[in-house]
Amino acid sequence: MNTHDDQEQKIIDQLSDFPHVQSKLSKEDFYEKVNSDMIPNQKKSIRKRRVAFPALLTAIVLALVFIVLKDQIIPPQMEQAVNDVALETAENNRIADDRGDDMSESMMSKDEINTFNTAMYQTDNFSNVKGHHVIMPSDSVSDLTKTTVVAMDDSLMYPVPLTVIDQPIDPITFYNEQLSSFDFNQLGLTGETFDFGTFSQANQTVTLTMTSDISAIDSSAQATMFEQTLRYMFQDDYDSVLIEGVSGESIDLGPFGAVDLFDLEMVQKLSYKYVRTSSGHKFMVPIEATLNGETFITIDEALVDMQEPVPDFNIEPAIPEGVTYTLDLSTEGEVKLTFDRHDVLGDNAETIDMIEAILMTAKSFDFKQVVISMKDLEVNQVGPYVLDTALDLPVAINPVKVNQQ
Amino acid sequence: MKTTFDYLYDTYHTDVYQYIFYLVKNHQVAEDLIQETFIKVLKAHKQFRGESSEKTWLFSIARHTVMDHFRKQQREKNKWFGLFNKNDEWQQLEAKGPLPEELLILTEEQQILYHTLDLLTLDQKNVIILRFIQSMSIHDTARILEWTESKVKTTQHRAIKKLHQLLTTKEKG
Repeated sequence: MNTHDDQEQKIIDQLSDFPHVQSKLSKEDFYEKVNSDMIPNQKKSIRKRRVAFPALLTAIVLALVFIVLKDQIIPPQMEQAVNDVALETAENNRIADDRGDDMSESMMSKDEINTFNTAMYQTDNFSNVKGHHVIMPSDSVSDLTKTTVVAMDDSLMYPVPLTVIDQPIDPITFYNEQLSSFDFNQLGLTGETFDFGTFSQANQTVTLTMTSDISAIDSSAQATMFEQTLRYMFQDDYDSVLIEGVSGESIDLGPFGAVDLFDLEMVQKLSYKYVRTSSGHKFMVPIEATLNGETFITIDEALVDMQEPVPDFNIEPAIPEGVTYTLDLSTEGEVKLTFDRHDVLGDNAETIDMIEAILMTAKSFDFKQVVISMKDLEVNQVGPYVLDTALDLPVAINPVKVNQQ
Repeated sequence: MKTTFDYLYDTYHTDVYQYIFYLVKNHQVAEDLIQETFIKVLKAHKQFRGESSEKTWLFSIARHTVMDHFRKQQREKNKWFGLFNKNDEWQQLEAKGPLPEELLILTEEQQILYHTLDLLTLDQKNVIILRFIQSMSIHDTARILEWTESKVKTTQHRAIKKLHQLLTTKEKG
């Protein structure tokens, strides 16, 4: 054992010798305290705090503070990422212009979206999916082929997993043969990652063979998109993706270095919200951390985040602003949410979207079921979701059907 | 309830209290958090299905309770000062204060180590406390932290390396 190891062992020994520390409270006093707080049905309550400010003055002060402290507020890495995104978005726009794509940048009307749906992609009103943005185990589509493809929102900040349903071919074949012609732009999304290579599958291993003329992944935004795409596409079935050149050589993936095996870090503990794309579509988005880079340790944190919009990136909250609720996690494996009365809550699209995002958030924290209750609501069902009853968790999100031409 | 309380208290209170204390380093806060932990545990005990061991289940609830406490503190702090302190480490909020009397018996070297624990990330600190102060196995530590065993090993390795590095720097300084 060398000196370095000796030193580390010494640290371990010292830690093991730390004294036992005990509570100063007697068992009887502790029992009294616990007992007095065990009021029946006392539950943890999370309420959105309302702070009244003189709005105009506050806005002016915050704007001045932001201008003065911009460099401190935005961490350098994020600023770099934002710059990368801005540059790439500008480049993408230029390429789109060069191609003569005259699609308007403004939001499209519902009629225009329906035209697109009819022409190429259908994103709602499926005969075999009862919900809006999720596929439930009870949906008849859940037994059919579902292929996860991942696009990114326009800002390249958020991955948007899509579930292509009713495909007659297996996912790997779909990735290789049909995905290259998938027009993500029609959904207001970006998906250029799929030009990178060919997927193959053997012995429970998936391999991505990258074509020799690929340009390196040379920006953090591209790297993020590449990583997110592989994770969401394959993490359910594989621990890693083998990556090789056409002759089996390792590939230089820019920020990742020379890579021959890409580990798929598990996607979990997420806050699900919605992105409104430039084509007017609304998709559910898994979010792993706040803009400050804080990940979610408990579901409480994720639920709070679900109420926060990110206007700069067209991210809409899943739980409407002003809605308050009580969270009860006392039953193992179950999330129980009781919503206070609010005008926006009812048997309507916004409430369905909220419930679906909550189901997915609960799933990402490894819960098994969710019970939603709503005080003073006259109906006992919101869309396909029965209130006060344990709801199963979805099997997939953002169903998309490719209409045959 | 008293019977369940007696059983849980006699079996786990000392260990869980110590775990919470070494995370927050403050008796008053530790008292509040173990009280909150026991309330949650007593409420949910009937539903406990034995999918994990009772011990790891209870420690896991304690860990979540401490995390919530740190988060709440950070949120309160951020409300007014967060914008101006981008480099603050949220897990270091409890770090300052006099040494509790039980720890006065520590050697000077151990006292430095005790304070240096605050320079670890919260994940690293959790692993160090569970593995070496609480003498938990890698398997149990993984269950409590809801990680894989390999992640526990990696985090432990990095934490010890970091402690060594920090202590060496302090010695030289």
